[in-house]
Parts: sequence; structure tokens; C-alpha cells
Amino acid sequence: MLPLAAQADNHQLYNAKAVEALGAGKVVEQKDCVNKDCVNKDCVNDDVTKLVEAWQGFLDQTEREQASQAAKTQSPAGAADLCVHELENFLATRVLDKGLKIAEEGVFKMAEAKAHLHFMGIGGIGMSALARWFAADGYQVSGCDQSESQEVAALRAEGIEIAIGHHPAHLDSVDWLISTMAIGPSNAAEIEAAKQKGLRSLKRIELLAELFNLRKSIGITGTHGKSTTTGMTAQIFRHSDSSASLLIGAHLPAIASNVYYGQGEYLVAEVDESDPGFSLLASDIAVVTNLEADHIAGPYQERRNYHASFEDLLAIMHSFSNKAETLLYCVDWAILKELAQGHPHAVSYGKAAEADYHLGEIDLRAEASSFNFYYPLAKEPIRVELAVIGEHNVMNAGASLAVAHLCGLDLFQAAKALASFQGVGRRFEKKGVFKGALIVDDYAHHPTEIRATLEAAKRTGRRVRAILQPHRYVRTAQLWPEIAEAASLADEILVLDIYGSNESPIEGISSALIVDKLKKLGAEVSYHSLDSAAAYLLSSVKANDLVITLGAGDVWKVSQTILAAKFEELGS
Amino acid sequence: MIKVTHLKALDHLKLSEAKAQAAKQVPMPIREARIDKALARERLGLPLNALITFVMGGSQGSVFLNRLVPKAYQVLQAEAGNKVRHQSKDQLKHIVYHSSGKVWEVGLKEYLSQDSSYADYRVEGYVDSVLAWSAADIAITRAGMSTIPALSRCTPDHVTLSSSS
Repeated sequence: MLPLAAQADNHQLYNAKAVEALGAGKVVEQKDCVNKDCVNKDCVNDDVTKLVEAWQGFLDQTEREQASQAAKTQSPAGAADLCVHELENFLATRVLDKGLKIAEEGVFKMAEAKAHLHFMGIGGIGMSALARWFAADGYQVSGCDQSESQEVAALRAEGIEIAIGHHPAHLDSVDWLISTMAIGPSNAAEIEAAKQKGLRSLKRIELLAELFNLRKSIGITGTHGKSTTTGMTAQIFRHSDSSASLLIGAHLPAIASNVYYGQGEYLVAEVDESDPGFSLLASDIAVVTNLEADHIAGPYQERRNYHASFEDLLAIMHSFSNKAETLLYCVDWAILKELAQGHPHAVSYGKAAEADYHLGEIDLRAEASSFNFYYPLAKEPIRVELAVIGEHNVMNAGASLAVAHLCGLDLFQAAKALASFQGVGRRFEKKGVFKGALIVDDYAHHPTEIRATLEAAKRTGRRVRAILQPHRYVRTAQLWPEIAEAASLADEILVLDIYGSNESPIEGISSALIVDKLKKLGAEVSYHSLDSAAAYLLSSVKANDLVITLGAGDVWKVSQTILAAKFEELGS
Repeated sequence: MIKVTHLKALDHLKLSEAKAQAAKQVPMPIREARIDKALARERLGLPLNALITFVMGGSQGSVFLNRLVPKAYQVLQAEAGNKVRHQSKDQLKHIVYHSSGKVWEVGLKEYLSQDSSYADYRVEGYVDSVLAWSAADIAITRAGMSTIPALSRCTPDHVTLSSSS
């Protein structure tokens, strides 16, 4: 053997020495085959002495036989079969692990008996999705919530019995109590009663973790874009395999719901990073779109839907990604590159050239967008056409195509499925047209989201009139200057009161901070209530306007009022 | 995913401690088939009654072997010639079957054709590795990761067959 010395770490030399140590061969080093007297680098003056010596030895039959016997002891016979065998064993163990885990925690038994599940706080978007999933799977499902809501009404219409308020009596005939993280004074009695009755109970996220174990799960999270990315991924899966299940924290028009129960092996699920329990979820593919300081309590006392610090959120995100077989992350976010460090199978997507799945030649237009999707080993990229607008949607589409590729789906079909994607509910959702003005509703409440949405809105060429409803006191206290700066992209801003989402008000924190900041920035801004905003817009709307309601609260009611006026006019 | 146990490899792959402990070592999968030596030589047009050295350079590594091995062969043949005269004992013909890489094939053939001492030195651009390994008594190779296991698949019957015939 003449090892090739230029190879990494001179590994061929060590390979060869191992063979020589066995007595199965002889090593002749390349450096010993050069005439040392030859100083000119172009000089070819080989010294074959060592090679001749080694070769000569093997001309002897006995020496050859000995070497051959020694080699035979290390024969890799059946290596390919052994690899297959190991892989099969590995996969079988993995399935077994999942089975055992479920059996231990009792959910497996529950599955056999099709037990009665009671969801406490069923009106929340995450809870209602799970309730629908288990109802579709044949379980008896009931629930209760603090107040009536659209979601509660919709669940009732689907045949799920729901009580308003919390009471121990709700637990008659119940096998499992499913609750959210939040336990307050109003539901404490019911939870205590469940304990006394010896009821088995699971947190929402624990139940979701069981679903993740039962299916090949794709868990999609991040500060922004997780609902849309989940929706796009679901659209791709539904296009190629209608049996894939879906859980999403928004309304997906294609299925007219936030959940789809399928019998197939895949589960595409949005993972809400505001619930610290998400670290329990073991995904086959974890997707992290981006990560910013949101849902961070900092010095504030509020703990529901908040992490104590950004470091805490990061630690949980680490735990979530490390549990995943494959981590798909956006390489354009430096913090996500750090997150991916040390993950045995991290794959990236993004605008950066270094991405495994590179998104290039991005074209953002008023009514549509397109980009080139470069995937590993591809000779040519795929041109992807989207009916949704804005660069953030290009990023979302890139993530969902990468998932499709990782799952072995046909990319051309996937791109085709994306072309017909119309967005998920409350994400640049076109509600209608009033006197020529386009009425749009969007969930944006974080400065990054407000900026992305308004940039896309500006590209339509219309006069953008934004109705901004700040969401939560803590977020407003932390981000009001950035929120104002992002909102100033609009041509006119109507600022409403903060939507508290059950948080206690914080002294000195109000919409006035944002209004003042916008004035300083020279923006056309006014302060309004829900009603006065609608009235003002009805009286001043022009054909070239784009009226957009922004916020995670009930700001959408403004667009509803405007469009209701349209129907009144039609009726009169 | 093929698991590995070599510590440096684990470090390189950045596997977690738990995953490293669960790792299993498997041999390198290669083309394992070996056929009867006589049949392999017949297919390759090589005589049964000869000693055959198979030279395989690999992709990057072929240039150096293409230059060095013919020179060594020449020295070896000269020494064998001396022995025959001194010991006057029958010796097997020593044939070299050399896989040079396609780009070097023509040049090397041309170079060797200028010297009669290379009459039994055969050059091919590419070879069928199953046939070549089956036919060979001795191999001169590099030491890359697929060469080593291929080498270990040479069984003693190859050697015995060639010497007894």
C-alpha cells in the first residue's frame, strides 16, 4: 500500500498501518519513494527501492498466504446486510420506545377505550384544535370556558358540548381532564375536584406531545410566520397526500378549520413558543423560522404566556430543537445558527448563499411574489410562484418547500400546491372592497410583523391606512417605540387602545405613547375607539385606499363594521 | 445513517454523548463478490499459469502509482532474471494488471510500449473490480476507505491456486 499523503489528517497512512500491524500487507510511504538528493521541485527522480523490497517479499508464496490469512480475519463480509440489519433494529426500537412511553402514561389505554376527554379552556385556538382532533378520532369530547366566543359557538355547532364557567360538576363521567398552563382562581375548584376524583389529567402541551409521538411530526415554530409556514406546509401535504393531519393556530381556508384529522403517518403542527411546555415535543422535523424577544416578561410580573427572560426562551428552544431528528432553521438569523450548532442533523434555508436550501432571485410584486428555490444536488432551481405577497411569505414558502424535500415529496408538485395558497386567516386577509377601497385584516402585532405587513401593503401602490391595536400591556411597555416606528410606514395611522388579553394594566403604559411617538416621526396619526375608527373611515374612505386592521385582538371588528355598512347600503 | 464509533469521527460529527454511546460500528459496505480465480482470469484474458499483481491507483492517487510502479517492476524483473540464471529453476511469469485511470491510459500505454521489458505489463483505464480482485495474487494500492475492506476480501484460495498451477 502506498498511502496518499495529501488526504485529510494523512488518514490513508493510518489505514495502511493498521493493515500492516495485522500482517495483512506492507506500507511504503510516498516520502520514502523520492530521491532525497533531488532538490529541484520539478525534478522527477523516484526511488523505487522500498517498493521493490516490499513487492519482492510477496513474490514468496508463504508470505502471501500468511498475509491473506491475516486479512481474512478482518473481512467485512456481509457489511451491507449488517447495515440494513442495524437500521431496521434502530427503527424498530424507536417505534417501541414510543409505544412504551405512551403505555406508561396511560394515553395508549385511553386510545383503546376511546375515553371521555374534557377540555378546560376549550375556546383557545390551541385547545379547540386538539378537541376537534380527538372528536374526529372517535373520543367523547366536552369542554368548558370562561366566556362565550366565536370559537365556542363554532365548536358547539360541530356537536361538542360546552359549558360556560368552571365547575366540579363538569367532571361527571370524564376520564381525562385536559387543561392549559394557566390555573387561576376561577378554575382552581374544578382542578382540585379532578384531583380528588383521581382523574388523570394532562396539560394541553402534554397531550400534543403524545400526538407528536404517534405520528411522523413536523413541528413548526418561531416568533413570526409559524402559522403561515404551517399552512403552506399543510397545503403541500394535502396536495400530495390527503391523509396527513394538521394542527394550526389559525384558520386555514382550505380546510375551513384549524385542524384536520387524517389517518396518514404525517402530522404538520404549529408549535406556539409562548407556552414553555413546548420543549416536551419530540418532532421528526422541527422548523424554526426566526427568533426574537417576544413573550418575555422581563421585570414585569405577568407570567401567563411569558418567559422570564430571553435566555429562558432560548434554552427551551434548544431543548425543543435537540429533541428533533432533523432541525430545519432559517440561516439568515444569526441566533438560529447558534441554535443549530451541535445538532447532529441541522439543515438550513434562507437568502444567504450558505443555506442548504437557498432562496434566490426574489421578485416581490404588488399582487404576487416569486423566487428560485435551490435544493441540494439540484442542477437547476425551481421557480416558485406565490399568490401571497411580501418577502416574509417567500421565507415561509422556502421553509415549507424544504420540509417537502426532506420528506421526499415531489418538489414540482409542492411548488404547484403553493401557487394556489391564499394565506391563513387574519394574515393579510382580504375581507372585501368598499367604495373601491381594499379592506384587509392582519394579525401583525410585533414590530417585525407590522413592518413586513405594511411593506407588502405599500407595494400595492394604494394609500395605506392602518388601524393599529397594540396587543398586551407588557409587550407595549417593552416595544412601543419600535411599534410606532414600524407603523409609521403607513400613510395614515389610527391607534386604538391596548388590547389587554386578560393582563392587568401597567401604570403609564397606554396607546398615547405610540400616538406621541408617531407624531414626533411626522406621521398622520389619530387616536380612536373601535367605533370612532369605523365611523371616521366610513366618512373618509376613497377608492385608492387600502384599509388594514393590525393586531391580535379584536381590531378586525373595524373592517367588519365597514363591510357591514356596504351591505346595508346594498339593502337600502 | 451509518453509525460510527471512532472517537474522532464522533467528535467530527458532533454527536451528543448519549448518541455516541448508542452508536454501533459496522464494516464499510463494498462490492464483495469474488469469483473463481480461473474464471476471472479467463474473462480478463490473463493466463492461469502466472503470478498477477493488480495495481489500482484510485482517483486522485493514480498519477504517482502510474509513474512509480512500472519503474519498480523493471527492477524486479531484472532481479528475477538474474535469479533464473543463477538457480536455473522454473519461475512463474509475473504479470501486472494496472488500472491507470481513463485519462492516463493512452499515455502510459505509449510510454511502456517503448520498452520490451514491459511485455507482460498490461494497462487498462478502468477495470471491473470484482474480476480484478478475483484474478490477483498481489495488489498494489492506495489506502483509502474503500480499498482497505476490498483488500481484506482476498481469500487464501486465490494464492494457493496460482502457485499450484
